[in-house]
Amino acid sequence: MNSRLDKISLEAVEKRYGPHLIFSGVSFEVGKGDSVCFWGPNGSGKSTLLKITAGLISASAGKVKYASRTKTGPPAMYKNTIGVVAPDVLMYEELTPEENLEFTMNARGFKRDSEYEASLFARFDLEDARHEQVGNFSSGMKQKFHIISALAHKPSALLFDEPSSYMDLSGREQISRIINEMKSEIILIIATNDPEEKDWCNEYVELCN
Amino acid sequence: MIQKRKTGATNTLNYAIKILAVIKKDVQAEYRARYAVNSVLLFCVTSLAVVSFSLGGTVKDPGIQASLLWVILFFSAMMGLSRAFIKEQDRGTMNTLRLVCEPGQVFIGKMMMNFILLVVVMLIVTPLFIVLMNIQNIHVGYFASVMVLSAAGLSAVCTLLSAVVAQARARGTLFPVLAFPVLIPVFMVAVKATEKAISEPSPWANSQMLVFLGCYAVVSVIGGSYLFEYVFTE
Repeated sequence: MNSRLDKISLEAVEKRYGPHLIFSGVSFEVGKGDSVCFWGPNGSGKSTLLKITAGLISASAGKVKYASRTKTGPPAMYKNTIGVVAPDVLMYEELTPEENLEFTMNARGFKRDSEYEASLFARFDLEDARHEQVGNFSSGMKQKFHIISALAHKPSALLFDEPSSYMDLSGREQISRIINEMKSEIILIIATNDPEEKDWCNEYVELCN
Repeated sequence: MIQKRKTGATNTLNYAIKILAVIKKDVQAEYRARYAVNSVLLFCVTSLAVVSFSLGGTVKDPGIQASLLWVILFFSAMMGLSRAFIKEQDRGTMNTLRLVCEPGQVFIGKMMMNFILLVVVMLIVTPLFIVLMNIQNIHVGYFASVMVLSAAGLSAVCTLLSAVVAQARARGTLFPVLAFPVLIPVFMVAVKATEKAISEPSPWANSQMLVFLGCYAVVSVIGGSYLFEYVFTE
């Protein structure tokens, strides 16, 4: 479905808001099967770095490069190969999960894999909620659906910002299981200050205030 | 050669499907939540009632009648069309759009949704206005052309400006301030052309006004498509 994304690299990335420096000199490279955690206290710029990595905002300095076997380019070139879960990447509350997925898949120009989607809904215990408006969901259900929608197009890289927030114990276990199953086949980047989520990753980038 | 043509046609079809996905999503969301339709229609009906009760039988001048109609339509457009991106920003779905859509498909999809909204408002407001203001001689073909071409230009400009102001704090005041100078030419010509449509038996002699409105719409759509990418990507 997607042209595979093999590598994400950041070179001397810096972010400033006006005169205020958030972070500088962030460089790393992750490939298929690698997992990296952005780790640090509140306000250290974890979510900002994740959004820069996803191509949602631009860096003040430095470069973000995505590469497949054949070509290298900016994140925008590969946006259909990544799945992002973040507090400001939300689904439409007036629509049902079914309608949301229809929109995102059609907008990406992808065909839907109904069996795969059904298996995702089953794994997160949301089969019965597929035709309810997302606005009526609890916070935990919404988070589960955000993860389903990030996985629905079978991405090569997952970028998660505190993925298990709002989740109960069983929800956390479901995410942990899915991540462990997929980890060897994808690039995983998680921004968190939860030690349990940090343990899902092999390496970490520490940000300081 | 045939293969190239086939690929071109497939690409166009795929692009159209992607644009339709944006329009369908907006129509579904608007149908369920009625963000824009309710406020715009309420404003239109209220202002129409005030205008007709205070001036209804007394205003016979087609110039004033046309101006009153466009004042109502202008403020309706300011209220409804500005919401295209503001609601995406407020509900945290702007980044979802950035992740799943190309800027061009978002612009065209949102612009078409705004066009549909404006045409629906015009279809409701205009007949009521004609009845309440007791306008009898109207050239339907010319009048409809003025409305459709003006709606196209308005939708394109308002869609672009909605994306510009979506991230600002004082967006409620910023939108009309930015829109006013850009929309002045289209309003001036639309008022004049509407006046001709309700006063002259054969207004086609003034077809240069329609040409202007058409050109404005084309330039707004093309210019908007190019500029939108810079606004949308940050």
